[in-house]
This record gives sequence, C-alpha cells and structure tokens, in this order.
Amino acid sequence: MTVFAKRAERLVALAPGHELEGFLKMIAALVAAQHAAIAGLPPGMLPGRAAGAPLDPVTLKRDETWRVALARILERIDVAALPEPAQQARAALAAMSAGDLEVLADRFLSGDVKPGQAAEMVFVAAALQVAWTRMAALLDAAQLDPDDAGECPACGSPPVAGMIAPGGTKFGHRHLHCSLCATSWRYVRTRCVHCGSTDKISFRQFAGTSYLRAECCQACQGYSKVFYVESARTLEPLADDLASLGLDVLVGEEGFSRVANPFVLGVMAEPDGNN
Amino acid sequence: MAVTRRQFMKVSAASLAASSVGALGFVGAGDVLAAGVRPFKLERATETRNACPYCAVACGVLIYSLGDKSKNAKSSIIHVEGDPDHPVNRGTLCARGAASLGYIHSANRLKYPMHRKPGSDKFERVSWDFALDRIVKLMKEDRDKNFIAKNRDGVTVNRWLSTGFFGGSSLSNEAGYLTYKFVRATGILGFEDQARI
Ligand code: SF4
Ligand SMILES: [Zn+2]
Ligand SMILES: [Zn+2]
Repeated sequence: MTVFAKRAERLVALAPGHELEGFLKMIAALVAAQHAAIAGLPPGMLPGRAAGAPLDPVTLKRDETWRVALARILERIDVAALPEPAQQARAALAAMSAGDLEVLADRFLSGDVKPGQAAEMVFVAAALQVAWTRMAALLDAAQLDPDDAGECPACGSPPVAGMIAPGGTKFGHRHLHCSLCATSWRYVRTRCVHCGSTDKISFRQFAGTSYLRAECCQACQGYSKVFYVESARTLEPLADDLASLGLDVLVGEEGFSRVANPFVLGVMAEPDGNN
Repeated sequence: MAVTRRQFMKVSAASLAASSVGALGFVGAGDVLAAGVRPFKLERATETRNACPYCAVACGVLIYSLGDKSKNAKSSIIHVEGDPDHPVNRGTLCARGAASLGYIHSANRLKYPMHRKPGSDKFERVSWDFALDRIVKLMKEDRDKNFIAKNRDGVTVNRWLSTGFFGGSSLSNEAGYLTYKFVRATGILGFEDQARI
C-alpha cells in the first residue's frame, strides 16, 4: 500500500459532512491518481552520496519523470470529482509545453506560487510529490542526517505536520512529515519547526480536545500542527492537515502563519517577525 | 539552506477563497468553514521542560498546563510526564516522578519559608530575607562553637561536623561545583549534593 493509497482512504473517510467536503473529495481523487501514477514509474535521477539533503530540488537536476507522473495523474484522475475550474486547469496543463511545465515546477519548488496559477499548481505539486516520493523510497535511511533540523533530511522541504507516536520504543517522540517526498524524521517536541526556538512556544487546541494542537511560536509568529496518534490511530498527516483547516482559521486570527499545505497554495504571507 | 522554500500563509476565509481551494472551484468553502468553527473556543496549553526534583537521576519531565488564550491569565498544571526527548529517561518516570502532579497540587506543599518560633506550636510564613539571615546566624553560631581546627594529635583538620548540607538534584554542573566549593570551604563534611550523574 503506498502512502498515497493510505492518504486517499483517509480523505474519503474525512470528507462526508465536512465543511470542505467537495474539496476533500477532489483531493482524494487527486491522491488516488497519484497512487495510480507511481506504479511502475521510473525512479528518476538518483544522486550519489551527497552532503546535506540528497534530493534537494535546488541542487538536484530533475529529469522528466515528474512530467510522466503529471501526465498519468491528468489522465487517471476521476473527472467527476472536479468542478469546472479544476477541469479547465487540467485541460490547460495537458496542453502545456514541457518548458512551461518546468517553469511551474520551479515556482512550486521555490515556494513562489502566484494566485493566478494556484489551480494548475495543485496538479503540479501532486506530480512532483509522486516523483520525489519515488526517489525518496530508494534512499538508504541510514545515510540521511536529520541534524535536528526543521527541513526534510531527504529533500530539504518543510514538513506538512508533526505526529506524536504512541506506544512502542518510540513512545512520545515527534516525527515531522515531509510535504514533498513523504519522508518522516524525528524532531524534538515543543520546539518551533521554523526557527528552532524553544522559548516562547505555546499550543492552541479546540477546547476539550487533545488529538490536535497548533504549536505556536511567539519568536517568529509561525506555527505548525502536532497530531497525537494515541487519540486517533488512523491519522494521516497531509489528509488530516486539510481536514483540520478550521483550526488554522482560529489560529490565524491570533496572528500566526503556517507553511502552506501543498494543496492550499497561492496566498503568501510573511510571518509577522520580531515583536 | 540558502534558499528558503517556506511559503507562509495566514489562513482565513478570505485567504482560502483566494488560494487554490477557491481557484479549483470551491469559492464559498472558506466562509462555510470559518462559520463552522466559530462556536468552538480555542484553548491555550503549554508543555514546559523541567527536571524531576526527587533524586539524583534528574529525569526530564514535560509539565502540561492549560489556560485560556489571554496572555496574563493564570494557567493550571494538568499533567506531568517523562520527556521522550530527554537522554536520561527517554520518556519514562519512576513511581515517585510519575506522582509529581499530586505533589504540585498538594495542600501540604511548601511554597515559601516557614518558621516556628522557639516555644511556639505552629509554623508561620516568613520572608526569604528573614529565613536566610536566620540560617546564616545559626550556622555561624554552631560553627563557632563546634569547629575542629586540629585533632588530638595536633594535625590540622578544619572539620565542622555538627551541620550538614543538601544540594539539589536538578542543579547544573556549574551550580553543583559552586555548592561544593562553598560547603567544603566551611569545613562541612556531611554533604549530599545528589550530583552523581
Ligand atoms: S522520576 Fe524517579 S528516578 Fe527520575 S529523577 Fe524522579 S525520583 Fe529520580
Ligand atoms: Zn522530503
Ligand atoms: Zn519560531
């Protein structure tokens, strides 16, 4: 079972009756297409042993594998789940030249998504995830150096969310989950994933609940989500991040910013900085 | 990493509508979502790192407290557990450490210096200044009376055996070093610094 199959299953389970039901169902269809696309995908350019994150898109020269993945996603996605604007984005991408697609990929990978490209970019993000997840699966985990950093040790991307593990020998550790290549790595709890501060960290949660908290940092005005797997065993970081955007609305009202989910793109904000 | 690839976003009904959520065709979804969470209250919680004070193992603990979201509101401690990231105990605690929540909220917990006057049958709260002055005075008196400069054979020993000293298990190396220096300089031999780790 791929990470995408598990994610799609979770999204399908979360969607009914949700305020974002249509959106979650569409992303479920997209993720199901990612699952279909990754089967038999060539592994792409695997670097030799490199210092730092070996799959960092800034230093890795990408080949056409991700465009193969994109073509498969566009072809296999369940069109019935797509509203009209999403179908237009799909058609626009299918007609786009390789060169234009590469420009979009560069934009996504450098965190510079313009509002006018937000719809297309969701498909681009999905295809890049497939290509990077395929490459990351072939890395030797022992060669990666998490170095207690807030960036993915495999590809240098920011995490989509953190999970606190229940039971077993890893009891209570937090693992961050990469937004691009699905690698997870351990990161000290109660420490800002953006600036590393341990100083002015506090959490926000819906009153009376404990399975999800926003870890807010007064030093950089950033936050990230922490899920407690003990309270909800079927959690999937990216899917549950989307399904809990309601918490983000309330945390945003307190002035905190987050790293965008790869499927919620196009609106940039600088964290408020020192205050 | 030279290039920062963090695209920050402040989530709101408006920013969701302007984002890919709206662009893909779910224009009103952000408003529906924001209206849906409106009845929910946000709770402010903290997880604070500390060391268990009960013994020299000095296990790391996480102290959970809950308060409302206003910055000045007093929050109450609701849970204490082993710190999974701490190299000494890796999330575990012995029975004593695991019971610290009871100790924190105990009605009998000592929170400030107390003094029972000679002849009195009850303790009364006193200031730290009073307590420290009193301790210093009594130590000095006791040392002046009982200090042993030389033993029977005339060998210099500089012992002070009638007073003992406890250090704290969660003191840092530096604080432990200073405590040792001070205590040994007075001649005290009965010294437990709880600093074997
Ligand atoms: S939890 Fe137990 S072993 Fe650890 S410091 Fe406290 S009393 Fe000592
Ligand atoms: Zn990664
Ligand atoms: Zn921070």
